[in-house]
Amino acid sequence: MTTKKKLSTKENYRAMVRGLDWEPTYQKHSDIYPFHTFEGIKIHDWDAWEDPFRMTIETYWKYQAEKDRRFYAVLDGFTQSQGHLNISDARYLNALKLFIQGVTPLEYMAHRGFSRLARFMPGSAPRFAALAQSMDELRHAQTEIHALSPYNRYYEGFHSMRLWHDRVWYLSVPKSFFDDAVSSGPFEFLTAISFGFEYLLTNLLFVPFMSGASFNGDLTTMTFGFSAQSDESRHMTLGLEAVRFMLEQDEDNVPIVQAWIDKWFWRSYRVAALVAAMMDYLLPRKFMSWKEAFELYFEEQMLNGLFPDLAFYGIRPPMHVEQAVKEKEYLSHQVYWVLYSFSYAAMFHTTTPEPQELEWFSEKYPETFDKAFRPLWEKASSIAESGGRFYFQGLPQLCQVCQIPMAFTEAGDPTKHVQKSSSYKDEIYWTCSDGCKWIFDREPEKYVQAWLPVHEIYKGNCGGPSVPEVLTWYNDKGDSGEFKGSNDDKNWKRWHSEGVEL
Amino acid sequence: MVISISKLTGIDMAQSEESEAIVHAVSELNDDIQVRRMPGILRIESSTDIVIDASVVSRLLGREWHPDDMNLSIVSFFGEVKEWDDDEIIIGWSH
Repeated sequence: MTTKKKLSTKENYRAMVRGLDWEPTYQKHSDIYPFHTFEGIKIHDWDAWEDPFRMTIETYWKYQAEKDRRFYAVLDGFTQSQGHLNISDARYLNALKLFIQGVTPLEYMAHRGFSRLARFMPGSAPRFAALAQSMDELRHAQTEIHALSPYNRYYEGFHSMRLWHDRVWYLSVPKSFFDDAVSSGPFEFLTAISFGFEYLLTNLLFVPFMSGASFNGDLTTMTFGFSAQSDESRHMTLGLEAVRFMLEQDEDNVPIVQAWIDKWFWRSYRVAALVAAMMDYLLPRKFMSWKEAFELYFEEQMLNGLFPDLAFYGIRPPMHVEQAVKEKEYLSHQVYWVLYSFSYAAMFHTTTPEPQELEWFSEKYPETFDKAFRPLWEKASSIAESGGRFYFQGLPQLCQVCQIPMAFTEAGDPTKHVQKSSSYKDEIYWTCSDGCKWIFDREPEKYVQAWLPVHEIYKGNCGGPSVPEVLTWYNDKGDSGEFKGSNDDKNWKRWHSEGVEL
Repeated sequence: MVISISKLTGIDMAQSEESEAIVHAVSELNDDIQVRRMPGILRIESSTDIVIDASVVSRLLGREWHPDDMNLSIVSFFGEVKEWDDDEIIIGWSH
């Protein structure tokens, strides 16, 4: 008797993923898979979809279980060793708050979005890749909440992340982004999330958080970051394969895909503006500026690597990318200034940068910082020194598409504000940039439905017309406002004093 | 705009003994590899395809290493996964 050799990776994938699919006979194919045609994408051969990872459910469980074992071992060690005492400074926690309030709920939404693809994509390869990603995203949401929960015991800003994601003004930026994606068709969702978000910008979004955590002594965030990000290479591959597959299947798909790339690059990039502010201002120990990260992860990898490759299919770099390249000189400063100015209603603390941080900004942003932003911070610091605190009085106008306050400036001129407008059914809608205006004008019927926090406050839908009423509706327990003198500031000193019971 | 002479492909890995062995194995087969170290991250870049030969990684680690084990090290990559089978992983651009 001869023992049969173990199946190779390729044979195993062929047998245990692709080989388990079947053609339906007692239901019509179009009744089972009703959603993949209305967007106009033409597919002739679903079997041409390649999964280079050749992941089977057996391999998937094996590696995911190992990742979770490693992560939870570190988390236990972190908790047992009072790991919260090792972070660089309490100001650092504000980066984590932004993450758990703004990003973790998106992981959960991604889980839901990919579950839908796992059910409704007609090809077995994309269906399985979507199923794996759906489970990954649920794991990410869960491990992120676990990883950050030890901080909730000692600090503010972590206790109501789900409620805040639905209610608080700056969190409508990531929330509306994902709602936009999940309310599109399956191919646009893949282009939006798998390609635009995961492939084009994932490094800018997540690697700074992990490296920031690593550099600021935050073991638990660094570990969940690496654990989650290790799934990311599969997600990126799904994104690239989805785009390539659509482009190869039919030439008519090219302009549709190009328009989605144009739209979702700009949508994703605007969400990344919050990361820009986080990197430059919320990390007490800085390792890389937003500008440097943008050059490394976007210009070098995507504009010089990916897009020359996609030119083969007739795809060009996204529209408005030149605006993003110019904005790298000032994006983080403008966004953090907004967060600082409206901090009385943000569920994390802000403060003025320390003198050595101003020096770092001057060095990293020689063209713009001293001219346009240093004077703002010096003014805010002098107000603080005389016992005051600068807050913007009133509520900002929001962009109808990205929902960020209209604080952006003309490309190349950090002193001239942009206000674009469009008319639709006799109403005027405002947008923050050419990119957002283009997106609005393409699908006005979608964006006129936006739930804009400032409008809703003025309509009386957010607890009442005054700031204290809105803060009560936000469930603010001292989570907002200036960092200096905050409970976080006091608790940091308390947990680090001798003889304290932890 | 950042100017690169040729388009690059690359892999980011979590810093670990295993990732160090992978970087070492790749460098043995490819003179063009640039290694960058960032907090917690090991990054390799190349202007040609990056080939990870499982037998070389296994030899350097002193134990068997399967390409699927890369799932535990990889953080991100740029390029396209051209091959991922029992012997090797190849990442590069097609066009």
